[in-house]
Amino acid sequence: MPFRRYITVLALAALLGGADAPSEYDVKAAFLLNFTRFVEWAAAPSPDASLSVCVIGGDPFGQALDQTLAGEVIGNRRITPRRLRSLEGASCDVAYFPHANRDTARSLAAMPPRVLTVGEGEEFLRDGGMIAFVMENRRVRFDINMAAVRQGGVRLSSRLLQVARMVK
Amino acid sequence: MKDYTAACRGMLALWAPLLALGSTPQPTAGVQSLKRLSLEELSQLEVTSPAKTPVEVRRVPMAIFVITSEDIRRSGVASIPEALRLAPGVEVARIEGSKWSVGIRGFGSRLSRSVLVLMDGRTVYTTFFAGTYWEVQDTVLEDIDRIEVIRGPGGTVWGPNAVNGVINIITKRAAETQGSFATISAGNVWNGILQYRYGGKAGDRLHYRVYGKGFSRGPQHHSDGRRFDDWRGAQTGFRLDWDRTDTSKLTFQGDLYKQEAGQRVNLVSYTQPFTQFVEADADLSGGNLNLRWSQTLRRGAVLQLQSFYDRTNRLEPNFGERRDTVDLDFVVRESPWRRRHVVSWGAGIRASNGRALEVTSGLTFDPISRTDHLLTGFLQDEISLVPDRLSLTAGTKILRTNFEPFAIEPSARLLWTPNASQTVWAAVTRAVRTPSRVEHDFFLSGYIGSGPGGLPFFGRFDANRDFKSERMNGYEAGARQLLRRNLFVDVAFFHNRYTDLFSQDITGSAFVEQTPLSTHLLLPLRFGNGLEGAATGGEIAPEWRPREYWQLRGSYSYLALDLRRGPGSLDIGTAPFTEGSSPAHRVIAQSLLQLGKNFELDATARYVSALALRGVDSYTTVDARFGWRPTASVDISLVGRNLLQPHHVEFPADPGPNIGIRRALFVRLTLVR
Repeated sequence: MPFRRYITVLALAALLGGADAPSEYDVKAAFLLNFTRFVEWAAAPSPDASLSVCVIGGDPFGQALDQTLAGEVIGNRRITPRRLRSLEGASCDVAYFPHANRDTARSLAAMPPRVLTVGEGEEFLRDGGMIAFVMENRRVRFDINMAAVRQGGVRLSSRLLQVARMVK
Repeated sequence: MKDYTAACRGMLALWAPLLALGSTPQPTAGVQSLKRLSLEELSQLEVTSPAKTPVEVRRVPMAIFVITSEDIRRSGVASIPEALRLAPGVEVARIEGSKWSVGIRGFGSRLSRSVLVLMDGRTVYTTFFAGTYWEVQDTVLEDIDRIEVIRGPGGTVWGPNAVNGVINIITKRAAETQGSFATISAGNVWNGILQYRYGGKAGDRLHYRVYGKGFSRGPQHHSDGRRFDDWRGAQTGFRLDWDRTDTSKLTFQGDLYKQEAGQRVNLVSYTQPFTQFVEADADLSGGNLNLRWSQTLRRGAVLQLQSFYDRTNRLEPNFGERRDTVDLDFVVRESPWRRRHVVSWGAGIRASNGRALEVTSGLTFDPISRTDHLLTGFLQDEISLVPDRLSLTAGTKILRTNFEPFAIEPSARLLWTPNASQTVWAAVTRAVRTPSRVEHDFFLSGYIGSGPGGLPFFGRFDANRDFKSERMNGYEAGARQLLRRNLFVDVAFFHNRYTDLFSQDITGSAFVEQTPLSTHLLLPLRFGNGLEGAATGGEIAPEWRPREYWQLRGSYSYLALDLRRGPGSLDIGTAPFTEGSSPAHRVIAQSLLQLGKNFELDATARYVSALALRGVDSYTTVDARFGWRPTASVDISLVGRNLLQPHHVEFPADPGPNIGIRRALFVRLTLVR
């Protein structure tokens, strides 16, 4: 009898559980897609080339990134998610550094121009990144480091600046 | 018609997760709808976070466990030591109302002698008794960003006394605690806790918060009916974060507190009645100011400068001390040879003055007032041997204290990351625990009984001016692996070898002493460095998230302590006493369940094996919390702690019979903004 009650509780949990709360990385993937719409890269290499969104060193997104970016086109550029161990030699338009990446500071120091760098946590901006996701009251927000943005040769739409939690 | 479709959609939404139960991949139907949301809408969405992987897989070559603010909230704890129970390898035992024993990998004691504790970089480890007075380490718990618990020696980075571990309590930046926040708790043991905080800003670059807190807690269970350990306190504080420029940041913070904690102490004097249990309130108060400055220098180097002042007043029924500590530290972190090396170096100076305020003839200090100083230097290099795969971190702390002209705490740590989901590490380290005032200046007497000829018979520990630092060589290894997207395991093993450990030595045969009066028989004793030995063990901590809304995790910790008298030591039993103060086995199992958007049901079970040598049985108990959030700004939690029995003993009391820790029930109302 207690066992059956347990099952009932579990079923109830399943029924109610996470009814519509999306996962953190589903939302982050949606944000990334949005970022590509509100960013201008100064002098993109060729207008028809694909737009690479690279996740550097460990992928926290699972399938969310592919499902979000699949079939999306910005201008004439098809968005392509890529997963890389390091940025070396690769050409990326957006570089995403998960929290687990320990070489973030070093990679940022050696970052080629015209790459939008996105990462996690406030320290990412201190390390010289452009946009950092921060969790606030179980919501995904983002901060922007304008100095890094200007230096990196990308232009952000004012829409992004308005929604940002903090612009430094 | 419109209502009907809406209802249908509602029904479907309810069933969706149930249908998804059958399919293995995560339900991602939501991803497509998320794409259509605006930036503003995305910013407002509440999300569930994955198993702690982003923090936990963090590739650090040490045994680290991070207790997040979410962990603290959901475990329903009301004090920092209670929150530490979640960490593997940490032995937390409540002795009585306001006293805890906290140990890491052994050596559990009221003062956690071999664990360094920091709050926002300010050391709260006192060199008075060597250890941390846990009861006065407090803040608004919701303002804590995380507690990093490092098992194993951390002396190279954190300095002396980080022998068995480091506990780093880090509060949130003021920008993250904006607006009004209040909690009101009421219950049977925790009679009431009131917390209020307000966060504001001036411009975009300056954020601040102020808080106030008060609590009153009732006594625990006393088999002798002496309910002495009630506890009251009030605390206030502030934090100010000023981002002067993008590269220059200042933080200024401070706290002020006052407490009355009921205690039972053994008052010993050389006059009648020689020994006496006294139950009275300890009067505890203090304050601190902490200033930190972070400056990015050329070529990405970062300078961090910190200084703090800390005052503690402690008036216990049988002694008192006032202590003032000032500290100045800096660290520079840079990559001079890009990619291959990350070099950190720094230095620090600390002065700490302790003044004994009241003494009894059975407990005296000589001198009454003294100032201890500590000078440290630090150099560490993180070398990337194979980029992204293999790295070596080597370095040392060099220190000078008034007890010892020179000591080093070197370490070497190897980190191998064969792929994104796996980390393997190993480390060899050396750490020291510096002498405290007690070992150097303390005369502590105990009444043994009536001796031959009716003379009162005392034992007395006399100050030992030659007390040395305790030393430890630690050998550690561990691995972390993300087995599946939702299953994570962390294992660590250690073998720590100790020398010059604290002992209580007989220094001669008993003799008749005339002063202090009255004439008595005295057994001369002394604190020494007579013990040596080893601690061996390991921890395994799995974390599994079977569903987005359901998280299971736990840990098993094993410890074997083997201490013995070193050559020539006449220790009177410290070795078995220390061995017996830490449990060999500890199991934690936690379930965190999200019931829809508004309900949470969380439970933690813990098993702790017996402290057989000290007369404490093993116990199993459960803590639980049911949380309801009717709106985004209101949270009502029902919390039960130690639910399985009316009361249970966790640690031996001293003096007097052991004290049962009671089942506690309380309601907490949280209001935001």
